[in-house]
Amino acid sequence: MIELVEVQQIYQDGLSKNHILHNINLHIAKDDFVTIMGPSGCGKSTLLNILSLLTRPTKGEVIFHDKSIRYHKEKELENLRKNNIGLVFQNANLISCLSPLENLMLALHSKDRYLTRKKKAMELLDQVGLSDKYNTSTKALSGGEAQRVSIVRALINEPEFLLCDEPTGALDANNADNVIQLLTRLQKEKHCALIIVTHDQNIGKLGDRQIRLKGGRIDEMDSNL
Amino acid sequence: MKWTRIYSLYNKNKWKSSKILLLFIMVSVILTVGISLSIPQVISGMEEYLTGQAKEMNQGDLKIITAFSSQPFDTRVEELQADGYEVSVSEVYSISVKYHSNKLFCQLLVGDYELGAEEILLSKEIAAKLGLGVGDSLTIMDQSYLITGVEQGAYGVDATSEMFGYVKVSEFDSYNLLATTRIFYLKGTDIDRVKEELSELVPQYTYTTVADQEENTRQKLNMNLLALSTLNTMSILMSILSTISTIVMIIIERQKDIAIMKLISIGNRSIMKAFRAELKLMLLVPLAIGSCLSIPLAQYLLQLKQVKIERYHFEYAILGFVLYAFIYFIFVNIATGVIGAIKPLSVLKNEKVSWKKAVIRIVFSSFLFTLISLIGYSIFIGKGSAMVSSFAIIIFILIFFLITLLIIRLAVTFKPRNQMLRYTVKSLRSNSFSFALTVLSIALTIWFVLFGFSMETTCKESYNSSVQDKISYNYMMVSDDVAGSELELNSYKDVEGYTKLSREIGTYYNEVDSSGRAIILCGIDKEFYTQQFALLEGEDVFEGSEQEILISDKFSGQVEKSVGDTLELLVNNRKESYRIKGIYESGGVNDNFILKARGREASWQNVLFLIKADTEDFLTDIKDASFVDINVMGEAILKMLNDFLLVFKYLCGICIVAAILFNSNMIYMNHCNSERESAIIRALGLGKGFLYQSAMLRFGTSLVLSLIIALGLYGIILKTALSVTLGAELTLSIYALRLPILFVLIIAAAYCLLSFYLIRRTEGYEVLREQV
Repeated sequence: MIELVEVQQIYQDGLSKNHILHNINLHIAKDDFVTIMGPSGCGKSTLLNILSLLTRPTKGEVIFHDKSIRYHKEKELENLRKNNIGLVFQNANLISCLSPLENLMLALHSKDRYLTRKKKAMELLDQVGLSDKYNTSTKALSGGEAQRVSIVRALINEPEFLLCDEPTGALDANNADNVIQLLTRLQKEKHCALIIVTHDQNIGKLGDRQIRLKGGRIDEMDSNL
Repeated sequence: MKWTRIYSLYNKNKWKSSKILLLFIMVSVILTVGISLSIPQVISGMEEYLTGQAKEMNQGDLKIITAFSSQPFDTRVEELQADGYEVSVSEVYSISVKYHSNKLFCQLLVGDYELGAEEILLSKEIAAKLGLGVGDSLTIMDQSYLITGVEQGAYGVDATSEMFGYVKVSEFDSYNLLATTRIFYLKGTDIDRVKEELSELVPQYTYTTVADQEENTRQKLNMNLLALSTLNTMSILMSILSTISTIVMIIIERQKDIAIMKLISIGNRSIMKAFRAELKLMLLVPLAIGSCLSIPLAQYLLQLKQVKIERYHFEYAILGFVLYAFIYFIFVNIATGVIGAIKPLSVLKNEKVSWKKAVIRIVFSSFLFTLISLIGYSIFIGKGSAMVSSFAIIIFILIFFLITLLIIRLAVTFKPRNQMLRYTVKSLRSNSFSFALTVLSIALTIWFVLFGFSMETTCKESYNSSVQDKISYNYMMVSDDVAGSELELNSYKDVEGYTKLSREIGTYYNEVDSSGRAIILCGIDKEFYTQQFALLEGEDVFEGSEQEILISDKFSGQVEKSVGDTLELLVNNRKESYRIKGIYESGGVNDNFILKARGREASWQNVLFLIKADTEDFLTDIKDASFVDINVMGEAILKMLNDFLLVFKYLCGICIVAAILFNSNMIYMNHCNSERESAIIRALGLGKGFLYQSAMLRFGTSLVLSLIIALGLYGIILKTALSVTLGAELTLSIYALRLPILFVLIIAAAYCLLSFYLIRRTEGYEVLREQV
């Protein structure tokens, strides 16, 4: 579970202070599917950074697994991220010198034997229809294929939270649909929370909870539940 | 849109954001231009100074160095003297001088030096080693002298004196010392004819006119120039590589802005012109600083060589500025050609841009223009040898680079199961070109350190160890009190043994071509032959007939005689024939010693002890004796090398700074290139530890590879040079390499820390995200 309590983010720009987020209160539990929407500059990226434990808020508390992260050291945060959070970006961000299989194996933190790890990575690629692309160059993958690799890569350690930052932004409509279907399917299968930041109203509506940000504040919170 | 508007609206405002990269180029240009333009100043300064000193250095219109006596020559010189030629003669002795605890081997020149009976002149090396100056006193074999001058150049001396250092007196009781050489100084008219006439009489003597002295100076300077232009070429290459790679980096950094400019219909040419203006303006400052810096740098380097010149060639700095501005501007034009390869839509859609064609074009044009630039530089300094050495070094570096690339490709073929290893290996493979450049630049830094600061010790150690392997003694001693010295030698535990030689100076005559060679006929008693010579062929001194002789391997090669042949010798004005019964190994020391059993009736004269001792303690107690430590021979030979390398050494220091800058630039650029990948790795939760380990592994690999390549090539070059010039085997000891290795480790640690610092300061994942 992640909980934000009265979270504020202020950037100091010379003498002036820039309030990015104002008193955000948010609670995301396991199995939640949350979409975050809003116009550019409304603080979506900052909120995502705070949720993924990349940035500490200026004020307020971030409670992760019932503990405030305020006094956590950077290494502890790194471990929390490593074991609990998967990230998907607009671009697939695959490491170009590695094959899709190697990209997955690199992300796998398990201490299992090499062959076991390899098998797990192959199974995941099979699940997203890339069984024939284990060892091809990542440069040869289409945008949709690359994004599928990046999604299973984010899920390979079975994280509790999957945070997606405009995951369909760089894809055509058909591929975008496929990716969203894949994300929702995998969320259900893996029982993880899915948080998607998006501009797309249609994707936004899919969330069990839809959060609209405006001027750094939660403007609206709808629920399909 | 006109390029001037793009420049004022865009490029001018971008200086700040690219300041680190631009700073790298600026410092590299300052160093390169400073080094390059100081070289012609130094060479011409030295040439002017030494040519002006030629007559003084020769001490006469004709200097003749004679290693053996010739009656016809002496007679002809007397005739010339009678005809009005001014003739003076100096005799050269090998001695050791003592001052407090210092004892040094040097040459003593006794002749007409316009000195009082108790006055002495010292060469600068001897003065420096003994820590003496004008007004101090020095005792040579019980004879006390007042130092009235220290000679900064080798004036009117033979090669041995120049090599070991010397002292000059006008009066000296020579005891039983043997004059090894006589030097004649002739002053008069029509000197070339006199030289020709005398050299026909005795061709084995060394004849040097003032013109010959000038020519020798020029040849010596050409050798200096050769070494300096090698350094210059390396520094130019590093600067060009830095400049081009940094410009390409800046353009890649700004590719999105360029793509947008292209999309709003700004022409390629205008964008390129604006970028060129920005970069050329930025280059003008370091070019001007480098050109100005070359003058004080040249002044400093000339001061090191104690060369005083009337005026400095400011025109070199001005013309050099123009030349280098032209060269760098062309490279800017070449590098900015990459702007044409930017496809705006691909860049904005974040598609992978293929730089391959543009990079190939840049590499090809740069290579071609580098060659043209080096030709231009050689014309500028007016020395063809600079061009030859530059081309040689380019070919050498090219081979070196290809070998490095091949080694890297081979080294990364294995597929480790560990993920960090696998990622690092694959990443090295995909960036093998830039990794090879990093390895090359570190190897070049090591090279500069090795050649500038370790070569002297390596050569000395190699020479000494080669000599020690070949000969059974490490000290030579001449004593006034032979019996007393023997008693002292016998009483020392550290003295393993000695061989006592009775020497007679003589000449070898070859009747076929009437040529001669100075020899020393050494008589040995069986009871005093403890330290034996290593026999290569035939019989030893006391085997077979005692009337037969042994000659050294070197001498055998020089006179083309071997075992069984007969040698005609002229000793003490008597002609004698000896059959050669054996050949011994001289190790390059006393090659002209001819060994034979001493006749029972012969008296001991001009005794020389060849001593093997573990320490030099015995030297302090033996009175009235002159010593030569065999190791001093190596030191003396290397003194010549050191003199030659003095300027090289200082410029090496500057090149090391340039190489460090280049490496730092490469690290920074590699970091910029891998920023996205690093962010992905952090986003995957692998943490910075993974990146630190990977960086360490890269550095470890590059360090090992560069050490292997640098030490390997250093070894090959020195092995060849030592074998050709000194006939010595290369000995690479940890002692000689300790400083370079320590330096390299410090540099590698610094690079590693820089790399860690760059990893550490990167936070966030903005690089992976599109603005939402």
